[in-house]
Amino acid sequence: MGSTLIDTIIASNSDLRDRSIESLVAGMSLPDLLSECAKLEAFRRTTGSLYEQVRATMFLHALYRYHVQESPGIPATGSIPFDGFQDLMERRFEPAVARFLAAQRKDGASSTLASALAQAYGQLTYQTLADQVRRSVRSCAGNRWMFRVGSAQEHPIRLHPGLLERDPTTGLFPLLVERTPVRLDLSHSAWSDIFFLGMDYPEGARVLNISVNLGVHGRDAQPRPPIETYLRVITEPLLRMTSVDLGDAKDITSLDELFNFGNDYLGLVKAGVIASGLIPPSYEGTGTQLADILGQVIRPGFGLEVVSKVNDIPKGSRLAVSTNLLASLIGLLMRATGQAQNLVGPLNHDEARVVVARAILGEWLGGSGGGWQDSGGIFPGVKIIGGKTAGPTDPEWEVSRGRLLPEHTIVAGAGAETGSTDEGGAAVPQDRLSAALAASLVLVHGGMAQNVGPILNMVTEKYLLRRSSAWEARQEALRIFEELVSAVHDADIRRIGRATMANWRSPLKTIIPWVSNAFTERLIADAEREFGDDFWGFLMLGGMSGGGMGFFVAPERRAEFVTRIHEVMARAKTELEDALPFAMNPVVYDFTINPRGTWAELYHGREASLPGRYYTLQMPRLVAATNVDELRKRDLHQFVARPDDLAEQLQVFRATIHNLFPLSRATTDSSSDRERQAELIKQENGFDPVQHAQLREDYQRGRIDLSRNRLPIDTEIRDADPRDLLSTEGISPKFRAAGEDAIKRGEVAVVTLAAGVGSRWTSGAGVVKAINPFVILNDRHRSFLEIHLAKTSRVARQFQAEVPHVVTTSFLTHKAIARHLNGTQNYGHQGSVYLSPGQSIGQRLVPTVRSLVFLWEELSHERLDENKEKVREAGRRAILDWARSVGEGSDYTDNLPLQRFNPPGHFYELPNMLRNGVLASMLRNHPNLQWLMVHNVDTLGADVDAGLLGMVREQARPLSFEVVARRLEDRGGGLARVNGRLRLLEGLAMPREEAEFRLSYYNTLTTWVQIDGLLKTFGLTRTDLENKPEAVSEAVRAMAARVPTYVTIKDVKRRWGHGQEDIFPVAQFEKLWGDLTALPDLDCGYIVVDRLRGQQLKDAAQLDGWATDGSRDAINSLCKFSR
Amino acid sequence: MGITKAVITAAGRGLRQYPASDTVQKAMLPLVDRDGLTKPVLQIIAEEAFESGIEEICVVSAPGDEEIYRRHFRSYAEMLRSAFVGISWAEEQAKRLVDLEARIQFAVQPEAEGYGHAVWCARPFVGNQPFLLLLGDHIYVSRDSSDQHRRCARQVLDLAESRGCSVSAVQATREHLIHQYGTVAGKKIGHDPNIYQIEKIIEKPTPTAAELQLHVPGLRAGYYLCFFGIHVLTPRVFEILEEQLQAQRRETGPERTPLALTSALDTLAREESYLAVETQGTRHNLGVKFGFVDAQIALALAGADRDRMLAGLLESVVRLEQR
Repeated sequence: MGSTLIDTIIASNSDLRDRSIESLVAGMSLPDLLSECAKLEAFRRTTGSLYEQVRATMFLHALYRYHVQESPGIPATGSIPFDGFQDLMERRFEPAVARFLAAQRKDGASSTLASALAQAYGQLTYQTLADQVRRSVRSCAGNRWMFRVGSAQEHPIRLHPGLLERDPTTGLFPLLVERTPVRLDLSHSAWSDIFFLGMDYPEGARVLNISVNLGVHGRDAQPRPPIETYLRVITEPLLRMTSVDLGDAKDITSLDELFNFGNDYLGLVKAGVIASGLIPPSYEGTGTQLADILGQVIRPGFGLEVVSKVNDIPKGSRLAVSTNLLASLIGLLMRATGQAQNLVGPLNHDEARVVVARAILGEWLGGSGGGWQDSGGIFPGVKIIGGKTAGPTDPEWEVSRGRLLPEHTIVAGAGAETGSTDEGGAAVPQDRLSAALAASLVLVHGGMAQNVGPILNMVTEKYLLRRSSAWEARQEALRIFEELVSAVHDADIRRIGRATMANWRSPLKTIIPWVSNAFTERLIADAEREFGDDFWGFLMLGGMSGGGMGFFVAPERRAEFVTRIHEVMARAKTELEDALPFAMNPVVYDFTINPRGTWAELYHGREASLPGRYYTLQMPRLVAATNVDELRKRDLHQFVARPDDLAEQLQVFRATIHNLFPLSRATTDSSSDRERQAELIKQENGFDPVQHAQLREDYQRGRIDLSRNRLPIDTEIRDADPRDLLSTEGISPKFRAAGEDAIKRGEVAVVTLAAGVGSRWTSGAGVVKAINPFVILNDRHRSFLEIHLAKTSRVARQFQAEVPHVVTTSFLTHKAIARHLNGTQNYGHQGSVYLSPGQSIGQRLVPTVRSLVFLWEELSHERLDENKEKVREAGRRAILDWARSVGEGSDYTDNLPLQRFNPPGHFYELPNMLRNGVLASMLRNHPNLQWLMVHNVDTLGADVDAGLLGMVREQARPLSFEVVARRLEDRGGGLARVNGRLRLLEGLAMPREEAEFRLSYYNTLTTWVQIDGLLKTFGLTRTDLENKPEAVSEAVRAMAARVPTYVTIKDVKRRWGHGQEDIFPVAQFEKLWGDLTALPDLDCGYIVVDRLRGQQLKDAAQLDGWATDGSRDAINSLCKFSR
Repeated sequence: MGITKAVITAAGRGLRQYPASDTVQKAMLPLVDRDGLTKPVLQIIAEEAFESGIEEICVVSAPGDEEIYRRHFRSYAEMLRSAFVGISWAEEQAKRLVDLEARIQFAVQPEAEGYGHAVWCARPFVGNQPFLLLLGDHIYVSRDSSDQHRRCARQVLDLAESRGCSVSAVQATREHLIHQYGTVAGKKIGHDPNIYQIEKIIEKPTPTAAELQLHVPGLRAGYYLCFFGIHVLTPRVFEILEEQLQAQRRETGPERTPLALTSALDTLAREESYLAVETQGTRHNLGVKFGFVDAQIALALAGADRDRMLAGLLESVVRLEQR
């Protein structure tokens, strides 16, 4: 029984192996697809090859996700075994697959089950890859011993004796300083530095990586290696760590503390100490005393001080600052422990390769991750880094085609002459290239900081599936790379610019359309318009655009460009900062190529002094200490005696005073400004202090809480019977005609709910989701709101009718939405658009420990990768401490004013229209109005469908809710018969989590509202809206009292420093729209609609699947864009 | 080739054995050998050589040490003869001491300039022939399972004589100890599982360097081949040492820096066939903490007093347990 899919996977001929999955399964029937899945599953379980296993698993993911799930003949509903879901959450992917397959054998295939299988297979693929990377990192030569060391006495390395020679005059130990450049990827070879790509397709993994010194234009006098790490011996048996940039310092005295990556900002320094072999990872959890290990390595009673500093280069620079910082720390500590030949000067090539492997290990330990080129800054000058086929002595031999560790070939800079296998031919003229690049390339940080994790998964998926357009694009990127290397050899910047521009325009955007954004496109368009032929090309750095980027310009106009781009970026940021996730103000960098890579020097006596900011962090600790070590006193005295640093000393003095005697908030200007703003927000948005105090007390006393959100445990919850529901299949021509007539008569309006910011969409960045331009449709980035308006435009145009469109807002979203609508003339939409501002506001609270523990321990959460999980656990302990110290259940105030409040839930969004006069005004302007189609901003497929309207008109119920057949990702409630009544049940209210998994239908929140029916339910009439505001308010309040208040926990971001972000969970109170269905006197109907219409886009990671499965095109076809 | 000469380096002062080593050369500190006789360490090491077929020995020592050694040998022999008149073991030991003194020569290392320099000092004695090199602070206990019960040094000499090349004894050593030894990389040759062709030698490597450069196929993970302290070297090593010494003097001028033997051996491995053999036996470094105790126990357990020693050890363990 053959299988073309398996033949494709095992083919040695690349023409066969590189066939795309869509070409292989085109036209297959459901039984054929399921049979292919069964064969692949059997193959996957038996093959020993990593590549075959991974590709088969990814094929299975794609088959279930894009083909079985969407197959025309497949039943839409089915049931997902809850234990399988739990396996999935606990990262037990194999058992999850087994349970889902067993359910499929028992109950038959369904879209619901296919969605579960697709997710399980998808995650299994990434898990298999991550496991292999971890194994390979552990078994890299130079790393293995670190996993075998047992007791302190067995520790095999010793401190370099040179570090123990005290200066005869000052008595201080010498200071070892490592200075490390960052890396600039001049090629962006289509994310080919993802580990798995290099391991599977070594010949296609190539980057051109340059070590650069950096300075912030206008701030720093000249570029220099931005990373500095320091080490010296101390006469205390501990590790003293200081991160100058993150403003954190700690004395580590135990291994538990060292292996805790979540309770401070020193995770990277800790990871460096561990991955360097100073305290190898095998000591974790052994009970060994840190002092004993230090005693063995240094001498009894002694310890080490490690300091890191990155010259305030902002996070998200796409120059791999953090990986190179880690590499710098590892290099420094390897030198100090004799693991590098030279205590000072450069690292030799083999040692630098060990540093690369250990940096990967360190990132894994610290729960972060990068690509294999990221630590390239430690090598000198310009190098080609590429995948390498695994040989018999490599740990990857017979596991994967390529090695985990790439090969570094220096083509310009120290060591280039001896570069063994220079792929590009002769060495690059370093000076000429350096000068030419400096004269043309403008490096910037656009200010955006985004998580590139989803992008890397998308790239891996497309690679494994060989999706034809993406695969061709990858081949094109490789051809462009050759051209780029050749241009670099000729130091021909114009050609380099042309190549990077071509790479950006076609391969990169083809492989991942989401790499670009409206901000970047605008910068490029401006550059092209204003500089014409003198703009030579754009260079995207790293995983996504918007952060670190480069522009090549004619040398004679570079200075002009620098000024110009600064202005353009600043203006664009101001215009877009509520729509796109900016973490900081844009900056322009000055840079030079660093020809020697990482470099260490040893300072003695008076020269052995740490940076000034180190002392600002340490002095308050010294003041608080009861017993200060003699050596530390000497160090301090020496610092203040430095004759040439008076300005720095003054700064240190000031900062120390600030740290020692911090002023209370009220007396500092910026903070009191914030308090005033917060008060203003409360006043403007109907904050009810009495009600808030009551709710806060209820919460503090536990009368309302996450656990109390749930219905009683004995509540009877049954699945809805399909016979109780309407379905789009039941839409007859009669309904459609009636609906069309109603539209033409102006009976319907659209309401887009946009009071929430959509925190999941940009991970709590505070960006207003409705106006986030996330997708290119008709050659332009479009936001959710523009798409919704375009659908309304199409309907209005199609029926030559007036279809008013309402956008509900809140204090969080109103200004931004209003500004964007004004700025774009409602995105060119011709019809009337109403904004319905929120009428109330909630104050967020610091969560109670009780809530947090319930959230983390009682509710299902996706478990993370082993080390990330450890980091998360440590982070959670820190958050519990934070909640206790700040005050459980107290008002959350330690953030920007806007982040302290929340809209009180979507229950209020429609009632707000009654209170704020928007509905009255609409009825005045459109007296025929009878129906509102209310939908969430996420629900892109919701449009005014004439057939549906005809059907709900026929039913004439006040509220008709649209539901869809549930899939795995549809969490948070559903349609259920609760104690006999058919209603929507919120996930928060489910008495048991598994109850949700018995429900076949998920609530899309799209609701057809019969205006008069709703008013009647509220006890109001159309005229009351105009004349009796008090009665309206009273009616809304009375209705609100009839629906439950939920306690929810949301993550909010708190920004600080240079693009740094912390995430804090906060508690808030919400009332939800779907709970109206529980009211016995309100007649609600339910309509099953198809997936496309009901699907919600909640997470940016969904985008690629959304585009691939045809949803994007389908949505586009519903739109009539007016610009 | 029949190898008849051995060099023992003993110019160190023995800081670990202080204060005893302040008045007595550490090579003169006593241990009870396998035959039950109490001997100076140097004698035990010399007998390792003699019983392996060596005829002449040169001890590299500090200036003035020769007289002290010789006086010690003579006075000890006289003391035995006068104190234990007519007792056979005393007579036997006195005879051995006299014999030792007659067959031993001394070479002087004027200043402590490293192990390589110490070996270089013996070149007039060795002349142009291969020689056995032993350490003055290491005791070897053979576990040769063959009928001949060959001494450790003999095992090395046998291979060197049969292959006509330099041979160093090595021992598979766990990675946490390799920072104390010269460590070699090589490949197994022929059918003998214990013989390696040496390709590279690094002095006291870190485990990181060892993983990168000193991996030996066939050894257990985390184990490396470390020098055992017994070498048979061709006289070419003196030329290499001479070259390195000259080069070093050109670089550093009158300032003396230690000259290691390992780098000379590394050069030798690149120039000539150079083998390593995993000897059947154990090495006991007297220069480390408890080194003397460890060596004494090993000697006692390998000799005539084995049962008595075992019983004593067991008794100690039992007492410890009862406490």
